[in-house]
Amino acid sequence: MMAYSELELDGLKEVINIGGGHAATSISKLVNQKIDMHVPEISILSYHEMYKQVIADDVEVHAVVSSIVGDYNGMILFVVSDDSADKLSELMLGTKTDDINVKMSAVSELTNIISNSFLGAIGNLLNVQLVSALPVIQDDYFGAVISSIYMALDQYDDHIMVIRNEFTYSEEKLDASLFFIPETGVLEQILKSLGI
Amino acid sequence: MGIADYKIALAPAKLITVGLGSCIGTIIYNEQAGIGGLSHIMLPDSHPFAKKQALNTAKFADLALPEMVDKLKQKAPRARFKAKIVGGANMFGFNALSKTGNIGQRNIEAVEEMLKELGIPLIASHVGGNSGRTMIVDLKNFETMVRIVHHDAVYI
Repeated sequence: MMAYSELELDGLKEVINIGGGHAATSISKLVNQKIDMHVPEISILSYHEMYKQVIADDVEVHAVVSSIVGDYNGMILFVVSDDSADKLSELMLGTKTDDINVKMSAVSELTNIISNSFLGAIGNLLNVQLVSALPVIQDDYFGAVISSIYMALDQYDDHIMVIRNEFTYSEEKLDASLFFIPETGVLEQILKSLGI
Repeated sequence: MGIADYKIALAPAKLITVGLGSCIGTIIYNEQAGIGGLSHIMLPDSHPFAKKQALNTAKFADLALPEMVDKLKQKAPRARFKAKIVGGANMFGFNALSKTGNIGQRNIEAVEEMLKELGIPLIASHVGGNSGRTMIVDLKNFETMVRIVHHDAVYI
């Protein structure tokens, strides 16, 4: 893992902040409720630290993955707990549902919108074309999901850069996180476009 | 125990590793001594990374397994060992996306090859597919429980 200066990390944080802000706005519009986003977290962590500080490796999550296509490649991972999936699908459908397929397709559609508004905002800022491919949803252990994504993107370091936006709904934490996992070299390109 | 690590313990302890995606959990065990080592590797081959300083040997199939077997043999010099492996999934059907192909499948092949080189019979495995796994090994009897989200536990 490359070392980044404070200035570079601030620059990246600003980019992610803009992407996450747009994503929060697009969810708010969709569900007609105010959804907010925390200041994004960018940290370089070992797997051990990530599982301790972010989400534990044995937690069962709904994981939605979309590949990023366009000028930069990588993946967007949206992770929601079961409770939050209930909440979000209820907000989207306007009614509670017990049908797991309906619930998952609502979450999947939501991720599609979030990913594309996140990427669209970043793309505008950096003057590049970025869209996300159709999401794939899977219920699995967080550890299996996140480690396999880094491996699939050929990122083999013991330390990984965790870029995450967390969302809240009426002051309540939503337990929904958006991870931005770019391919090797993309962050350097982003910094270059920012002129840092 | 966590990712890119291994651990050796004695019965009646249990060894557990969680959230195996494309990674592989390998339990190497001897019944008489009641000793077992569980490794959680991430990658098949350390050679592309040989130039890097301070390699974590426990991360790679080709380094982790011989090292763990050495340590097991120090503790149980005459023991004959057997192995079971779990993991090596192709999560989300990622193989189409990676430049290096299906990492889970390559991990399975590397671990099987390394066990063969070490002369340790592989007596059971629960590998491949698209789902993550958690494994819990009971060192009293080598019973290995494999858990997959939304499925009943499987014993191998």
